[in-house]
Amino acid sequence: MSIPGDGDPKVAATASRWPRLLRAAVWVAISVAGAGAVAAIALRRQEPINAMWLIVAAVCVHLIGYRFYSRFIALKVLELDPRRATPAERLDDGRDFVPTNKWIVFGHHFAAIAGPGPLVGPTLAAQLGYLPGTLWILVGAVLGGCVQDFVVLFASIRRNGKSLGQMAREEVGPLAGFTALFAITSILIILLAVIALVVTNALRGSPWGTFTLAMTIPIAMLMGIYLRFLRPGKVLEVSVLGFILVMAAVIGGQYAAQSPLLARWFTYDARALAVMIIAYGFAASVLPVWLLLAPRDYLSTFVKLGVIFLLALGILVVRPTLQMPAISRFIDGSGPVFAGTVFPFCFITIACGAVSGFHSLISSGTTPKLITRETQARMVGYGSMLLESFVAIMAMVAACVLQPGMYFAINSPAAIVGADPVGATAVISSWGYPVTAADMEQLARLVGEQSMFARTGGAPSLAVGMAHIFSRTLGGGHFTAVWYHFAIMFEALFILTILDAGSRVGRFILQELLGHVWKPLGRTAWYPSVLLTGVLIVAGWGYFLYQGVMDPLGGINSLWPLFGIANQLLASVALCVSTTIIIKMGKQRYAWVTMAPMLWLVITTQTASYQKIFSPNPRIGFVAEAERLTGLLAAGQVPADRIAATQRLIFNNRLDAVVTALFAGMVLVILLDSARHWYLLLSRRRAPVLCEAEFVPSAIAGD
Amino acid sequence: MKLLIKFWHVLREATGEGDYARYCAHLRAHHPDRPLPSEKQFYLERLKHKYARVSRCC
Repeated sequence: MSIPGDGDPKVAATASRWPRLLRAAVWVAISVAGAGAVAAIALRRQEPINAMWLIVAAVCVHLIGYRFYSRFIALKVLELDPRRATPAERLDDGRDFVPTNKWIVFGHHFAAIAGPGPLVGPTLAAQLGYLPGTLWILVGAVLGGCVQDFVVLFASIRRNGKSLGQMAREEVGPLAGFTALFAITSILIILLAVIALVVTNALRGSPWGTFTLAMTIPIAMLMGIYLRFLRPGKVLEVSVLGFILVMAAVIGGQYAAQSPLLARWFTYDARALAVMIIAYGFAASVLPVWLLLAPRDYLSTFVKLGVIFLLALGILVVRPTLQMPAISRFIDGSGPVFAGTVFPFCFITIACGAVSGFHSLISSGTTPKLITRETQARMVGYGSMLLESFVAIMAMVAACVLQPGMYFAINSPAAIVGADPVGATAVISSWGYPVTAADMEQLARLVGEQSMFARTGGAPSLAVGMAHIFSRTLGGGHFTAVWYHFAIMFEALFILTILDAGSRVGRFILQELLGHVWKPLGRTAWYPSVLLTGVLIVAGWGYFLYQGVMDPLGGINSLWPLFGIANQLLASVALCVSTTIIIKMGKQRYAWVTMAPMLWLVITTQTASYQKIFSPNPRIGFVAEAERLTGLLAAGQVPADRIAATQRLIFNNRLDAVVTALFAGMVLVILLDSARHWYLLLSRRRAPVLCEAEFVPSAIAGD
Repeated sequence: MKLLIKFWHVLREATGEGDYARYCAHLRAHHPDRPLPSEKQFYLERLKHKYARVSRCC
């Protein structure tokens, strides 16, 4: 007997091989294990618990979510049709539309969606303790993020691989289409600025790190030349070569840091690094794609996948204890890493790993053109987001294996705890998280840095956690420094790739937009247009990067919530489009599947936006901070050399408030416009017209 | 050992090493009148195309 919609003929056979009772027993066991793990976490709040409880709980929740919820969505809500030919089959052109093995599609899709987001977000949210972030990662992904990725992928498959913007325009209306385009462009700018800030904060005052990352540029170029002229298409072998060279750079960085001559050449403060990264971003985005971007992309993808696998292995082998409490005192909103109470800011801080709107662009990108059979969308769409959610859990674990005092010493900006090591550790210890200046000094020596204080942005503390886990798995304490810098390099590598690729995409979008105004600007190959749009895009994110670097609070404090809000704005757009499509398919009684997460996102982003603009607390509210600084200036309490900087800070805070208001406004616009369409559809005032491609029976046999 | 070799082959396929051969086969089967691109040209075009749209996430 074949189960409708579950297009795998093999399932019918396996259904009879494994008796239903046995399968049910397995799932009951998984549920019990998951519930047990969650209970153990919830009940043992006073003593440090082992990370394995978190891992077991996460794996069980993910398995149950996949097996039951995604199946429900596939069978009942979307009714995936295994007999329907996908665009890969119908439009097979041997290049873009190619029916591809589902595991390879899964791999490509996962590699595309997994970026620094699931690593940085949970690390920052660890400030609240491990419990709030973990719960959001699990619930948000299973009920929100995975659903979004899955439904958007399905919708794009049915529409010959159309992008989110096109689907928004066709299924909802031109206003939705425009909102989507605006959301995409603005989130791109903020995203690039914030990840550039993460790298800048990780590398400032670090000769070892800066040396290693600087070396990856000529290494990537060498790979690019090799791949273009010597051995075209041999991506795997050139990546192996590149990896060996990069590892040499990681190990060699040690000597660069120790040699007084080289150390001077590679030690820079945040401002200088920001300028260099901006220059790099511009140069890389106008250079030919094969020279720098593509080889670096291959390398960073392999390293990223390898490290994720190694980290999972490491956590399993070491089974570390979580030192961070389940809930810290900072749920009251007074935290140093980011200001704001658990609701709504925990949900804004962790975007990728729970719900990330950006994924909908990937789900409606190249992936839908490779899917061989509709039913595979479940594994690729829902499954890869589930895996990213697991990566986020591992990042939470890695952040929480640190002593809380050390975590806060690394992640607190100097403006809050003070720049002096003794004073800073005293402040942090007074919060109830003991740490001494000697501890931090020892940590710095252990990882091969001058100082680990105020290394905000999440990457360094994550790297410390990862180095701790890796060095206990392989090599012992002697290699902690190498593991630390390897972890920094691995994040910085794919961050630079995204800066490159993102600036390029931004340039294309801008060229297309400007091409409407003055035709020659739309010609992508015309060099003046390339230069102009390249400068504009890089200036866009470069401005926010520079602002973040000059901010005494460290920049992550103000930029990361902006990024979270923007990302979830895009997610709201994607979920609104998905809801409209589900209603049009006649499945309105299941519309809650996308509507519920969308409403939750609207509530959290609107609340967060409101607080970021109007909160009277200057640590949270942009306007309040601008007013506080204005007051200081007026009272003459600002030293003469800081007046210009303070005026810039005032301006930037006001700008951030305006940008936040813009995002919040756009969410409301898309929500109201969509609600209007839903009303018209549900009250039958408008006929539901789906813009799907026509049904053609599939000729591909088997799975 | 055989598993490792199989893994290597899968990786090669996943990174696109067979794509040129597959494209040429497709052209010969469906569009015999069109000229076959050179290997270098094919991979270059693919790269440009790949990075013209959003390809990597946050």
